[in-house]
Amino acid sequence: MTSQIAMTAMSVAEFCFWVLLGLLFWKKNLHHRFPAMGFYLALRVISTPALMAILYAQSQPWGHGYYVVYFCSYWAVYLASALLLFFICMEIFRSALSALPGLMKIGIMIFRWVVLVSVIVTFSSISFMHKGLLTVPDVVSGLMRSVGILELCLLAFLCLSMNALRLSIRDISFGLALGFGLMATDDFIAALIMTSHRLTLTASAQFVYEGVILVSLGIWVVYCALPEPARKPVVMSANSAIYRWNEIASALGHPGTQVAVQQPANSFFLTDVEDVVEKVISRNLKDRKSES
Amino acid sequence: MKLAVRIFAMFIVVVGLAAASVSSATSNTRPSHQALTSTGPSNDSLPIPQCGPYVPCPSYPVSGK
Repeated sequence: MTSQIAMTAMSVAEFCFWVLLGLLFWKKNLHHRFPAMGFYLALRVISTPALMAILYAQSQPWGHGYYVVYFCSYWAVYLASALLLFFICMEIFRSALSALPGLMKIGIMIFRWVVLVSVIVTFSSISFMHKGLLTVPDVVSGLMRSVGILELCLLAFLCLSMNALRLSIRDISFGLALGFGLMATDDFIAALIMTSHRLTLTASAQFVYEGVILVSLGIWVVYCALPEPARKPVVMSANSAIYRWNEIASALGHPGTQVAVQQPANSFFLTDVEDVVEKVISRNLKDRKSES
Repeated sequence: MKLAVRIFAMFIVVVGLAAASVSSATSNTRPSHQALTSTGPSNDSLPIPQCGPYVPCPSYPVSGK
């Protein structure tokens, strides 16, 4: 078996994994819990054969015109994937923190700010070496890079706070985060190899790369296929830090009654000094009276 | 088991972040697999467009240039 046939077989296996994963996802109604993940799977299942068909057409002698179609559709799918992955990270985060609604609410708010900051950092760090339409790959690759870092941060967060959140390793939110983290690491290592080896992956490295992708998909298939254990109720002492933070976050979430915040007077600074002096004098007088 | 999975996950995180910090340039990086598959006509040439509609490709030079 030549390496090309083996690589094609792995790619076909990967597509079959995506289809299987999509079917399992729909069968178990997980798309209600993770809608962005459902859209992402649908995008992968639909776009892969469509793009392959366009790629095949543009490689034919009569298909030069299809290159523009391929270019635009490729990067459109890429952009959609990057955006969906942002939302998937948020869904995983929300699912992991569902036992602590207060922290979840404030955590989502912080998460949105983190996403906004990472997008701004991405745009500010793009070199814009290319011009015209070729800036699109730079921008979208930068976005995907920030998504990858976000996925790794999410996986680290789940690992470190797993005990506090009473999150089981069989929980699907952890499984999704593990798979995305594995894929992100695979991408970063491949990018590192390609940077150091001038845009080519050697055959062996490409097999390892594709193998890790298959492992990630296998992890997801196992997580989707196996029944998810019931989430244990979070039991903690009343004076524990996480419980107090949850209470504080819950209190912050309530609209409550509106309170007028006392504005500082627009008066001159000396009037404040006068007030303080008067208070001190009156206190001294009271003390003298009490002594006498 | 749980500890082993957590250690494995943290290992992934550390390796991934280390690789991300070393390969800081985005212009030369390969697009992420999470967006598209890597299947292509050959092993070395991945289906990633290297030129645009108004940019001549090496194999198909645009007429008039």
